[in-house]
Amino acid sequence: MKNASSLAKPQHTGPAPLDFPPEGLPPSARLERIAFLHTAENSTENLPAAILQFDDPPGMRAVCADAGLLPGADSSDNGFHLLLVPLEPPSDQPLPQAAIDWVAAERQAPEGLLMLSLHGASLAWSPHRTAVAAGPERLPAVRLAIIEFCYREMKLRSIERGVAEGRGAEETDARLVFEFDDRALEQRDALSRRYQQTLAMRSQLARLMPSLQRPPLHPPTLASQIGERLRDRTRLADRADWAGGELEVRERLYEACGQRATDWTIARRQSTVEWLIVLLLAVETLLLTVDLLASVGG
Amino acid sequence: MRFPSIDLLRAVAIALMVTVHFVENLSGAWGEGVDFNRVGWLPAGFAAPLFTFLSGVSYAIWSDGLSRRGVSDGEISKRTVRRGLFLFGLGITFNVLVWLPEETFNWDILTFIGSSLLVLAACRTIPPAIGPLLALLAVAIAPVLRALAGYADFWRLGSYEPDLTLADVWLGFLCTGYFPLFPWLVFPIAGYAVAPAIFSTGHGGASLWPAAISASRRCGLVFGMGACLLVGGGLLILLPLPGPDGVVRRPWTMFPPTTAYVAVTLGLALTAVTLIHRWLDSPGQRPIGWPLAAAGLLSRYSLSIYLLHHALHIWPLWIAGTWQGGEPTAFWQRCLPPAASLGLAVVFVIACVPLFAGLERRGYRGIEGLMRWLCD
Repeated sequence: MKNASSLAKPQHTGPAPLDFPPEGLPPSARLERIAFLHTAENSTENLPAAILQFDDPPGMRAVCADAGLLPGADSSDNGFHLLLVPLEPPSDQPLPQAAIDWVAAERQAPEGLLMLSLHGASLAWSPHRTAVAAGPERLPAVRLAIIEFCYREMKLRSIERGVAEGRGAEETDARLVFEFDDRALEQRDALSRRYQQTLAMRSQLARLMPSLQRPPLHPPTLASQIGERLRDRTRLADRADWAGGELEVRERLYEACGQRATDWTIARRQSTVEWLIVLLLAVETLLLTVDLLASVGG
Repeated sequence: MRFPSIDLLRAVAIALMVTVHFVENLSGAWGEGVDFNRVGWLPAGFAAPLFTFLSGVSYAIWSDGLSRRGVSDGEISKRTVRRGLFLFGLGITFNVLVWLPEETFNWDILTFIGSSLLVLAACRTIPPAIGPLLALLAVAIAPVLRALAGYADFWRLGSYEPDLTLADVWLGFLCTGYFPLFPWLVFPIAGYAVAPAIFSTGHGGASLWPAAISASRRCGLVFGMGACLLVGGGLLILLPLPGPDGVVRRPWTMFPPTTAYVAVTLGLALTAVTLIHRWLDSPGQRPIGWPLAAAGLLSRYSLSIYLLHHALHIWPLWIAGTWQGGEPTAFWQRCLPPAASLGLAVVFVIACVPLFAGLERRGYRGIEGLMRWLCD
């Protein structure tokens, strides 16, 4: 029986402001903070070696981050914590309960905890914490598959968040398609901004779709199967479809609003010119009237 | 929403108006060799422009408030027209009752404010740039209209005395009366146009003051415009131009309202409202206790005070004149020395504060309450 003192502190690459280390992990367990960073936003000298490089957007890479060296790397919006637990043979042991509890402790897991066991690898996943246990020879490939999956999932989650945030404004803005006036003109910039955001999200989603809907790799590997299983279990393709549907409606709405705003501005300009002519005619009429009244009165 | 700056300025305007009316109507022709209707030291000519300017500002704030509360544009226009007609009718009634029937169509300030409300109702619906242009044209064509109408023919010894013909009545309304549409329209329209910039109301003037310009810069712009008008008007006064007959015209007169007069009084109104707004309406400002409360009271009951002070100092003149010699106007402008009239005016203004405070406590809403009850 192992006592607490016999459990070595797991190897710790990068700061982890989490409840770590959980008790009951083997000494070889390792916690990594994986950050997704863009080379354009960080000087390349400071960037650690890339674990994975993505082409969406070009220059995006996954690195094992040290928040002290990389500004923004500690943000939960651009990365996650990965707990790697190498298993001693026999390597079909389950993920230690301590690791499951550590993943489950994350409060931001809307879908709850996702558990997966496949060919001797087992993992627990939540949006910002993942723990995986596998034989040491399989762990690097599984790690890459998880990192890639998490990147795609994070991108989709970010789009979903944007879609959800815009719902309130969407309902308010819908009336502007038919009713546009002076007060609405003040919102023109906001409407334009929302349209641009919608287009940006659609564009991101369009770039994301191929990776979500690609066919299973043949012959299958453990890593590819884990990636596919995670995509299935988190319903990435369905979620992308739903977000795409909502974004399509929103794009049409803001297109119509933009058209209405432009039409209204042009009409207003024409109306100003017309009123100017009316005003000049009224002045002329007034001068004639006063002249006439003065002559009548005189 | 009430702004202390507007209350203070309106209270100043009504107090000035009361003072000028008391002194002019009771003492305007007191003594030998006086200029009729003018007492040299009297601050005449400042109150009416400020009052009419504030009517435009208040209208912008009022209509914006209704709009924010979800009242439809059509309903706001209806209420505006009803209020305009109410004030117009009140003005006519006031002329008949206070200035006697022969002065029914002298076109006093109440009929003007009523008419200007109808114009402002239109300004709400037309493109925002047209309103200021209309104001500019009102000033520009006013001298031409006066020249065409023969302004001087309608005035005798400082009083407007038209014939009771349709032509003269219309001319009085347009350009020759006490407060004709031209050029007086410039004040309420200017107030309506600058109110969104100063008080950040969001009515139809939105595109006139782009949202990209910050509130303080808008205020600064309005102040700058006011300062330019002051300087421009001052130069016109300092450098009077000779008339066609070789006689140098007096560039500063309220009757007729010369361009220099309009520029200076509008400039004063613009600068005063921006400065006092910055001083009093900032959220962090400490409230200035009872003086501001008194100003608020005078402001809220300004219309009632306007009517009451006329009744109080004019009707005794008519009654005494009729009683003494059969001519109601026998004591008009000859009743008291100016200092005594000034004292009476001060007493009246001070007395208004407890009087209207008491009436307000008893739920009396004045003529303003009647207007709201009838028109809103």
